[in-house]
Amino acid sequence: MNEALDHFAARVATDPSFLSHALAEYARSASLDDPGLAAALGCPVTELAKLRLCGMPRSEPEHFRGDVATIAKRFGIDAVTLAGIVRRGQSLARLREARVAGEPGFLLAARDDAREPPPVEGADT
Amino acid sequence: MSNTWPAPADAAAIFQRLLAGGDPVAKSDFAVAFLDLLVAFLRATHPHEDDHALFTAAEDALLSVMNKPSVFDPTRGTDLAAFLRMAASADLKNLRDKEWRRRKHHEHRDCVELPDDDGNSSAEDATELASFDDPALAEVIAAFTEAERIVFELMRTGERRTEVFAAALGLGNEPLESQERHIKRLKDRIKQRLKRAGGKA
Repeated sequence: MNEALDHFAARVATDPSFLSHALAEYARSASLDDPGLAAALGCPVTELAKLRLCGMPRSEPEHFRGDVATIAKRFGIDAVTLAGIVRRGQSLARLREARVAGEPGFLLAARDDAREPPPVEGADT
Repeated sequence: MSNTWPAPADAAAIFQRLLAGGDPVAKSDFAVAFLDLLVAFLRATHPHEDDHALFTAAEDALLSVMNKPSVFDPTRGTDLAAFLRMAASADLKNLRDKEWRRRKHHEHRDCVELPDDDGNSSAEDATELASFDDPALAEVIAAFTEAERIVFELMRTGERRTEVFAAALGLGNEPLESQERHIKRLKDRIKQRLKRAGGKA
């Protein structure tokens, strides 16, 4: 473990230009601590900070696969596994950002509907 | 990780990878090559600073190059390590200055009693003086959107740093001007609503 690298990796967890961002979202959604995340990725926990400090794979299909492959090769992890985790983390991050930005639908969906429900067709009243 | 600064040729190679873009491991390699050395340098030159400040200043210096590699111009005759040491020292000074200003601001605010001006006080003052027991205020707060709630909670803690608001709102990747505009709009909206609801209290 390296305290300075860990500190840096934690700091950039809110920066979408770092892989840390997607990994943090994924770990949060799956309730994983660092050993759990390392196990999911298939890498030693001691490599997590360096992995988190990688750039986020570019989202364009022609770049995404290559970027993931480059990272996976460097850290000796399975590219398909990494791609799945990154995709899920990115999706979760986008949902969170949309919710924070107050896009219609997200908050409404979470609220109970206080209106009287419409009568069910054909039901006895 | 090495205890010695990378040779100029090695540092130049990492820098070229950052500059060229498209290498997702370049940032990590750059951090691994320089972070510990920068922290050790700052610790030696500023022995009384706490680790958090040292880490933050070293990270700020690295991020400035990661985010905009062109800030370092190798043709000017300075090597990358020297540039980063200068940048980190300046960032540490900026952190200290910012903290000093924040403390002075809080001391000043704690000492000043704002006059009653028949509702003409600024929106910011209204927020700072708000009494949250008031049902009208509670109603306004309950109606906040998620983004407004996040900004409101940060405002209540006295937070003023744009980067903290931006991170909490998921705006970290937007240009600074856009972050500031977005945050200001939310703050103004919150302040106006609180003020209308009697937030001057």
